[in-house]
Amino acid sequence: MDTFYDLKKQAREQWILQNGPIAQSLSRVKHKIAIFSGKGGVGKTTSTVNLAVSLAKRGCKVAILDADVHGPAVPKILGASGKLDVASHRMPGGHHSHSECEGHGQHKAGCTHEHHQGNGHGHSHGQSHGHGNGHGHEGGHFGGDTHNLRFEPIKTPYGVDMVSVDSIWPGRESPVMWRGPYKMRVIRQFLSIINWGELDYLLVDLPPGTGDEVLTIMSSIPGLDGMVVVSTPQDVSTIVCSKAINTAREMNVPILGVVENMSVLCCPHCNNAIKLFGHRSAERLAKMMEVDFLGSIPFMTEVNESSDEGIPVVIKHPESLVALEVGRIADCLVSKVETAGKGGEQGGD
Amino acid sequence: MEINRNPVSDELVREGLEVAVKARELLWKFSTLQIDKETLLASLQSIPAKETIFNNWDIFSNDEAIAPCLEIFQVIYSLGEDLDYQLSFYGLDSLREDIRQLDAAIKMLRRQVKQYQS
Repeated sequence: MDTFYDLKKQAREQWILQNGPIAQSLSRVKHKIAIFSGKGGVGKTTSTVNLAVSLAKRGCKVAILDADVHGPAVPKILGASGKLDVASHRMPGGHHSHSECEGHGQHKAGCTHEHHQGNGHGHSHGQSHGHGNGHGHEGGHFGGDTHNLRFEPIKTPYGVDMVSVDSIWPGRESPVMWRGPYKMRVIRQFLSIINWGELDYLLVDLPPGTGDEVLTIMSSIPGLDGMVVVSTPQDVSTIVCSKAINTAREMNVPILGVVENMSVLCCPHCNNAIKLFGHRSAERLAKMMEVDFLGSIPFMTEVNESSDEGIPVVIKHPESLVALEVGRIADCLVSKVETAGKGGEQGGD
Repeated sequence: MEINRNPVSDELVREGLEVAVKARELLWKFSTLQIDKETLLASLQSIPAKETIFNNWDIFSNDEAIAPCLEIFQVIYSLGEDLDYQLSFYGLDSLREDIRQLDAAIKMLRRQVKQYQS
């Protein structure tokens, strides 16, 4: 039985979760979704990036937080190297910085803005962030009240904002050798110190497993809509993913569904489907764990090629089977979080 | 890796070393129950780590040689923000990890300064 002290502590933690700096920073983010998997190498990051770009193509304002501290890959796939810029002016009460107030227009289903597609939105994207010489603090020094000092997320050419450890770490050669508590604090800082602004979707790309990064995200984001589990059709993956699903349940975070990545390989010569790993075991996993199966993404060589070029496959090959399937999954996610609202299981809070 | 011969970087390294030693001592005192949490928090928050990071972001984000210095200010600033969260999830012992991290950064910066002076 909880003591009065425990209850008081829990109440205080709840209050901070709902009203602390992270809650304030994310106050204008409509939906927060984390993408994770028990296993590495299943294509979480590729799936996250392509889902984000697909959502942006549907008119949503989207950002990605790359929470994979040791192996950040989102910048590479989005072709967005460079460092964060200091927000151009302070934002008392979390109001606009210069980079917002853009991209308004025709509204699409489930999204608040017609978002900039393809060619960016006002900033010189990607290449302009290579040197981080901020545009708001030239010559001026910040002092006194530092509460509203923030960084702008990196704008990418595909209408998706992005933040990653790569965006703050100066070392190309120096490895990131951070342990649990420090990683936790860096991720929480990303959540609280970035000027996320008004977003329809914040996707969090998590590293494999159920370690510090995953637990930090699950326990730090107020109103987390839920988790998307990415698996490959292999028993070795689905077994670990079932543990990951149980971790989310333990933390009271809803599971939005399972995505099966690399379900089949489309032969570039005869177009036949080759079952690389086996038969739809991710779908079986979804059934077994009583969560939704969101869809299967086939494996195509174009995915790797376009990722290496820094162009998401849904942009480079919009008519490909992969792009169509990712688009379908994005639609499915939109309808799921929009219709569910916050009525179902509650995450984070 | 050589330290940048930019005077601002030099000044940051000097400042970083100074606050790292101070923060290390504070964490040690708190870990060994010589000071209370409120004193530790107030002392960490009195170090202008966030301002230093923001004011010198151009240098921090581009000069690989002073990455340990960024780490020092980052440790101090983030502990000032999330000490309660850390203690509730990781416990008091986790601060020893922060002390080790500060030690490593101090060591790297001192080595660079030595190289630079020689």
